[in-house]
Amino acid sequence: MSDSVLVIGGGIAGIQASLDLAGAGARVILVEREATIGGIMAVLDKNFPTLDCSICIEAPKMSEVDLHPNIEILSLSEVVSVNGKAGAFQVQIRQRGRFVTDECTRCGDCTNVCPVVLPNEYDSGMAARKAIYTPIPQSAPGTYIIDIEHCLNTPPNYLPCDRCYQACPPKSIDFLMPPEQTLEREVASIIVAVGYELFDPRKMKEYGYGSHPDILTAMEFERLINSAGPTGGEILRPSDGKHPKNLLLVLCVGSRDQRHYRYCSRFCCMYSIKHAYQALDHGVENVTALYMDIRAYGKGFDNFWQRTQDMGAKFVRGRPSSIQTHDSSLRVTYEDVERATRLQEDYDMVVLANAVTPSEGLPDLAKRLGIELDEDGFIKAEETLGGLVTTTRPGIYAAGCVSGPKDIPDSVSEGSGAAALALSHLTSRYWPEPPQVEPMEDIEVPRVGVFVCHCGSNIAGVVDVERVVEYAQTLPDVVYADHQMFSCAGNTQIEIEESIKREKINRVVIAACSPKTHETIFKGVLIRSGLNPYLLVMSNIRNMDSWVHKFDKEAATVKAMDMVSMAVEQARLLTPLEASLLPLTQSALVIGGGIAGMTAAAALAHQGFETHLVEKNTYLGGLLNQLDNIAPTDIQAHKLLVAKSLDVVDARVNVHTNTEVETISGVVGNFNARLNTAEELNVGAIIIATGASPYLPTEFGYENNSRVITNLELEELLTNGTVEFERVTFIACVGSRQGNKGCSRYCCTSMINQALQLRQMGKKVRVAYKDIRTYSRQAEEIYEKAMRSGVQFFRYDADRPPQEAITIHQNNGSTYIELYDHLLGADVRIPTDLIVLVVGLTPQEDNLSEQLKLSRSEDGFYMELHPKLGPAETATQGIYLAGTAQGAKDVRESIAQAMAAAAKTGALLARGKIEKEPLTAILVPELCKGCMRCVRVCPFSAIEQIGEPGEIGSVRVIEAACMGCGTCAAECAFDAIIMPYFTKEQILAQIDAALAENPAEKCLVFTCNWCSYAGADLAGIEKRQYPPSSRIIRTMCSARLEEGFVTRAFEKGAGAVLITGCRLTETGSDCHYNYANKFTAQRFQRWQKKFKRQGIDLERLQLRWISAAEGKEFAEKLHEMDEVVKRYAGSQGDKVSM
Amino acid sequence: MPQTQYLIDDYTWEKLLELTDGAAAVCFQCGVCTATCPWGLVKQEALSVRSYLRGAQVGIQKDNDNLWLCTTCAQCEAYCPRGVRITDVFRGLRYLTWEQKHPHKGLSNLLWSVFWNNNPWEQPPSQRNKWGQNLNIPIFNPEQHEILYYVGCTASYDTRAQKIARSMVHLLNVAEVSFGTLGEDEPCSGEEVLSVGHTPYFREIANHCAQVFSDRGITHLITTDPHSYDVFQHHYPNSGRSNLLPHHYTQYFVNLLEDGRLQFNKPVERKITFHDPCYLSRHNSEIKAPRQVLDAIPGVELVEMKNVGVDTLCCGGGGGRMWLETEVGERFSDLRVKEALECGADILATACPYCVTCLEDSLKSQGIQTLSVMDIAEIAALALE
Repeated sequence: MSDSVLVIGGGIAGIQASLDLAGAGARVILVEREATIGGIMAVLDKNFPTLDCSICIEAPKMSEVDLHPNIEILSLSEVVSVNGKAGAFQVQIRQRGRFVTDECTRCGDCTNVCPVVLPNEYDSGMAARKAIYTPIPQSAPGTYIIDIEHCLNTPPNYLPCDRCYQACPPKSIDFLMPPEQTLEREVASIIVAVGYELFDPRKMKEYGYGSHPDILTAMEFERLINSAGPTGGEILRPSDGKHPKNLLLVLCVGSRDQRHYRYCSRFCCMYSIKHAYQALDHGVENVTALYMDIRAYGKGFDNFWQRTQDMGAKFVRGRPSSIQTHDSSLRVTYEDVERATRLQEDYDMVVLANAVTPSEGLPDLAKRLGIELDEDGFIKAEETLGGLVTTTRPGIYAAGCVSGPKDIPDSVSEGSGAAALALSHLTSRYWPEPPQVEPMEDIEVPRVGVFVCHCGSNIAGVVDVERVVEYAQTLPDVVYADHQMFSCAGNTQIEIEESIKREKINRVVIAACSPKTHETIFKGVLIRSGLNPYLLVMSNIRNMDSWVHKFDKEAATVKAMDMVSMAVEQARLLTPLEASLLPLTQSALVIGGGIAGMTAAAALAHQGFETHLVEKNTYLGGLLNQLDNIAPTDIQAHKLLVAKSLDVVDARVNVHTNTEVETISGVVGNFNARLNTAEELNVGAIIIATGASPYLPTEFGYENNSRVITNLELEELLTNGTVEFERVTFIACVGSRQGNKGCSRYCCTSMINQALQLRQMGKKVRVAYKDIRTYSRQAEEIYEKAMRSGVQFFRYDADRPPQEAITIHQNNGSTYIELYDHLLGADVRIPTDLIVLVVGLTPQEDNLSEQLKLSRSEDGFYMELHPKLGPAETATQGIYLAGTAQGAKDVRESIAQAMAAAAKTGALLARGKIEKEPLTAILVPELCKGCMRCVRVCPFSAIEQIGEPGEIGSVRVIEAACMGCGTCAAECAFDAIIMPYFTKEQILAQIDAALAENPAEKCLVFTCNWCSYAGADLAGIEKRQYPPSSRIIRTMCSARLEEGFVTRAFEKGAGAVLITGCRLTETGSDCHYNYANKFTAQRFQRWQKKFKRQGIDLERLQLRWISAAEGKEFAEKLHEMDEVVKRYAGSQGDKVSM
Repeated sequence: MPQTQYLIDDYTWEKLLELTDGAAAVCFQCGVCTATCPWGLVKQEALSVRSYLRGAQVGIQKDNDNLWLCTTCAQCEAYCPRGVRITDVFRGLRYLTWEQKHPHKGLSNLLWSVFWNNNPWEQPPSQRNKWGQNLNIPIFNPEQHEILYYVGCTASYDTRAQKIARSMVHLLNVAEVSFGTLGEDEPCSGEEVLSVGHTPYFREIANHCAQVFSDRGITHLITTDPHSYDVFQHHYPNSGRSNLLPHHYTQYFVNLLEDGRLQFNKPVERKITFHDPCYLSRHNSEIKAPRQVLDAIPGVELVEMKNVGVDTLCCGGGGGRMWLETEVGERFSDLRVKEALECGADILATACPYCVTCLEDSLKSQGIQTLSVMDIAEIAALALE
C-alpha cells in the first residue's frame, strides 16, 4: 500500500512530473543532487523560439514545488539503493548536510562576510560565489548552503572561522549538522529524470577550448547574455572585456561525430539560432553560424530561423577544422561547402554548441535502480509499452534527457507522461487540508501596497524602478511601495507576505510581468497573507513596457508610472470575491483512436477513471495501420498496435468505433457530447487526439502519373514486398516547410528508413532534401547506415519549395529529375523510374475547434497553452491535446504527449470537484428594468427570463453556465449587471488614471484576456519595439466594453482609442465566449457613427482583431496608432498656438 | 556564369563505389577535410577535398587537375567526423583516370619504370645492391637470420638516401643483430604504384612481393621506408596475419634499446626536432618510437615544432608527388623547415627517405645553412663509439 512516488532529478522534467503527481493526490519525494531544483532550464537565459525568459517561466513551477504540501524536496541527495518491486519499492537515500537550518531568511549577510571565494557553477565558473551561498535567487529550497568541502572549517572538529555564524541574524548556521544522513522511503513507483551533461570541448583540441578565454561553450554564452549573469547581460569578451564585433557559432561540437558522439544532440541548432538572434539584438555586428543541417523541427522553429536570417545572421554550411589564437582574435579555418571555398576568418568570439551526453553518474544509478542503458549510455526504453518513458524495470519510468537529448516541451511531456504511468501503481491518494491562515481584518478601507519588480535587468535595465516606487508612494491610499529583484522568487514572496502583514496592506499591486503567467503565484501570496486573492492587480510593466520600449528609457519610465497608477486606481475599488465549488463528472472523452488517443485513453483508464475513446473508423490505430515499421526504432507498427490494443482492453476503456462526435459543448467538469450513434456522453474532461492528415500532393503531376507516389503509398508497397522499380528517387518536404507549414518532423527519419530498405533490396536510391532532420534517438544512426549502404543524398534549395527547386524531364522514354545540388555546386539530372513524394502532415479538419472555441496556431494545428511548458494543454480548462492534433510529430513524441494529456486529465478528475472562478455576472435585481436585452445577447444562454418583460428584476443569472465574458453588462443600459474584477467603476478609474497627464498624446487600448492581451504579451516576449504612447486595459472579452468607456476616454481627451479582441472573420471566430466578439463588432460600428457625428475623426477610434499569436501585428498596429495620436496631438498643439 | 550539368549515371557510380570500396558513402560533406588540407597553406585556391568525395559519392568524375595534388598525407582523415578513408577515395578516383587512359602527365613513366626496372627511379635493376657493396651484407637466410632488412627503392638508388641504409647496417652490426637483405633480388614494394592509384597493378606487385617473402621464409622485416612499411602492414595479401610482421626500424630500435642490445654511448650535443612522416604518425599512429630512439641518445635536446604527431605537416613527397613538379612557393617542406628554425633546432630529424629528400631540397633552395636534415638512423649512428 503506497501513496508515494519517488522522482529522481529536479530539472524541468522532474518538476513537471512532481507537480502532476502531487496535483493528482500522490505524495512525492523529489530527490535532487544539487542544492536547488531547477536543473539546466534555470541556467538558461531565454527559450526558443518564443524568447520567453527561461527562469521567469520556470521559477513559478519551482516555487509551486517548494510550497506544495504533497511534495518533499530532498536536495543534496542521492539514491543509494532500491529494493522491492513496483507497488512497494524500499528506497535508501543519502543526503548531504546543508549546515544551514530552515530559519535562514536569505538575507545574504553570511555571504558578505565569508572569506572563501570560489567559481560559481551556475555561471559556468565565470563569476564567483562564496563558500556559504545560494545558487540562484530563485533557489528552491531557498535555504543557503555551506560548501563544506571548501569552507575553512572541518566540522565538527574545529572552528577556525565563524564569520558567517556571527553574521547570521537568526543564528541558522549549524556546523554540528551531520555531514551525511541516510533516509528511507517507501514508494509505489519511481521516475528517473536526472537529465544530461555537456561534452567537454577540451576533447577536441582543434577547437582550442581552454586555450583562449574567448572560445566559449554555449552554456557560457548563455550566462553571458543573461541579465543575472556575470556581465549583467552584456556580451563582453572574457579576454579584454570588450564588445565582440564578429561572433562565430559552431554547431555539432562532439555531436554527429564518430570520434565522440554519433547521435544528434537535437536542440543545439535551435539554441544556436537563438544565440545568433540575441547576439544581433545585443549589438554584435556580424554573426555567423557554421552548421551541417539545421534541425528546426518544432512548431514555429523554421520561422524563427528565417527571422534570425532576416535580421542579418549568416548561416554557412560547414564545419571548422581549427580555431586558433591569432593576434587578439581567433582564426577559424573552414570550407564554405556551398561555395567550395576554403576560408580563414578572424572572429572576436567563438561559441561552441557542445554535445549533450548522458550524465556521468548514470551507469552507477542505473545499476542501483536495476535498469538497463542503451549503447549510447542513455536509459533504454521498452518502447512498445510507453514510448521512451518505460524503462526495462516495471514501476520505474524515465523522463526528459535521461533517455536521450530532448527540448523542454518534449521533456515536459515526458515528465507528465511518466507521472501518468507512475500514478497507476498507487493504491491510495492523499489530499492535504488547505492552510489555515488568520484572515486579515478591516479591509473595507483600502490600504494599497505596491511592489515593483526589477526582473533582473529585464525591467530595471529600461525603467527607472526607484522613480516608479517614489511615484507610487504619492498615489492615493498607497501605504507602502518598494522594489524587488525578482518578485516571484520564493524568498521575495515571503518578503511580500511579511510586508502585507506588517503594513496591514489590503490591496496589492504587483508591477512586474504578465498576469497570464504569474497571477496564480501572487494570488498564493495573498492567500498565505490572509488576504482574498482577488484583491490583487498585476501591472505588466515588463512585456508591455520595458521589453517593447527599450530604446526610450524615459518614456518607458513615465509609462510604467501611469501603469502603476492605473493599477492602484483599480485596486482601490476591488472587493473580495469567493470562488464556488462546482461538481465535476469523473470521466473523460478521448476523441480520436490513433496511437495518441489509444495511449491517452489507456493511461487514464489505468488510473481508474471512466474513459471513452471515440474513433470514426472501424479500427483503432489511425495512421499506424498504414505503416510497416516505425523508424528509427525497429518496432513493427502492427506489434505496437497489438500491444496498445491489449492495453486499451486491459484498462477497460469504453471504445466507440465507427463513431463520430456530432455536437459537443459544455465547460470544464461538465462537457456533453452527442455521438452520431445518438449516444450521449457526459464527461468532465476531453482529450483531443484527432491526429493530422497526410498532405495530399498536387505537385509533380502526382494526380495523373502512376510513377509518382507518396511515401505512404510506398510503405504499402514495402509491406507487400513488391517494389518493381529499379531507380527510386525521394523528394523530401512536399507540403512541409513552406508558407505557414512548418517541418513535419516524422518524415526525414521515416523516409531514410524506407530508402534503406529499398537499397537493401538492391535498388538505386536517391534522396532530394533540404536539411536532413534525423534528430531523434537512433535516427542519425539510420541516416549513417543508409549513406553507408549507398543511398545518395542531394541537397536542393532550402529556401524554395520542392516544386520550384526540382523539375521532372522526359527524354527518350526515360524520366529524369533535375535539381541544383548545393553540395556539388552544379545542376544534376537523376534518372528515375519511381518518384516518391515525402509528404508532410496537415491539420485535420474537424468540427471540434469551432464548437469548443479552441484556437489554432498559425500552421492550423491546435494551439497549446504554452509552447514550452504547456504542450499538452489548451487555453480552455478541461480540454487537452495529444499527438499530431497539436502539431506534426513522430510516434514516440505522440505517445509521450498522450501520456502527458492523460496525466493532466487525471489530475483534474481526481478530486471530483472544481473551483469556479468568481468572475461571473452578478445581477442587481432592483436596477433591472426587465428589458431582456441581456437575455438576447448572452452567448451561453446563462441568463434566464423569470418574469414579465418590463418588470423590475425579471431575469436570473445561472452561475454554472455563465462564463464571465461581460457581454450582458455592456448591453445593460441600467448598470444592473456587475462584472466582478472588471466593474464599470474599476475600468473608468483606470481610464482616468491613464489619461491624467498629456491625454492627447496617448492611445488607450482595450484588450481581451485570451487573444489580444496575449498578443500584446507576445509582442513583448518577441521584443517587438513600438512607440510608448499606448496605455493598455484588460477585460475578459472585448464584448465587455461599454460605450461609456469610449465616451469617457474622449471626454478626457484621449488621442485615440483602439479596441482589440480575438479574431472575428467571415468564416469563424477565435472568441473564447462563443462569438461574443460579434457584439463588439456591431457595437463598434454604432460607436463609430456616433463619435463621428460628435466630430471625432474616424481614425481616432479603431478596432483591430489580434490573435494570441500576433505579437508582430500588435506592434505594427500600435505604430499606426502612434501616427494617429501624433497627428491629433499636433493639430491640438496648432489650435493652442492659434 | 554557365553552370555545369552532371548526369548521375549508375555505371560511373558503381564503378567508383567498387574502386573506392564505398569509402565516400558516409561522408556528410562538412568540409573539414578541405579546411585541414595542407594545400590550403600554400595555394590561394585550396584543394576542395570534399568536392572529390562528393563526386565519388554520387558517381561524378570532376576535373582531374587537382586530383593529383593529394599527397595522401591523411591530415584530413585525422579530423574527419565520419571516419571516411579519404586517401582510399583519392586512389580510387585516380585509378579511374588510368582506366580512361588519361592519367597525369609523367606518371606513366613511373609505372613503366617499376615494370621494367623493379624501381620507380628509372635505374637498372642490377645496380640495386650497389650501395652496400663494401659492407659484406649477407643475403637473408631464415636459418641464420632473425630479420630481413628491406631497403626499399629510394634507399637503394638515391645517393642521399643510401647514407641512411649504410647507417642502418652499421647500427645493426653494432647491436649484433643477425640480419640479411635480398640484395639484387629485392622486389619493389609497389607503394608508389598504390599511391598514384593503379590498384590492379599494385595488387600484382604485392602478390609477387608477398610470394617472394614467403618463398624466402621471411616473417620479420624492418625497413627505413614508412611508405613500404605501410603497404606491408595494410595493403598486402598477407597484411595483418602473423606470417609477415613488418616493423619500421625505429620501432625495432626501441626493442633493441629496451633489451640492452643497442646502446648509445657517444653524446650528440645537438638540438634536434623530429618531423613525423605522415605514413608513420597518421597512417600508422606511430608517434612515440622515433622520439624514444632520439631520447636514448645522450646529449640530444629534443624540441618540438608547431605541428607534431597527428598534426605533422606533410613534406609533400607522398601520393606520387615525388614524381611531379611542385611550383616554388607551393612546397610544404619550405614551411616545414621554417617551423624547424622557429623552434630553434639545428638538426631536423625524420625517419623517411622521401621526407629527407624534400626537406633537404627546401634547405638548399632557401639557402638555409644553420639547419641540417638527417634521418634518425644517421643520428643514431653518430652516437656509437
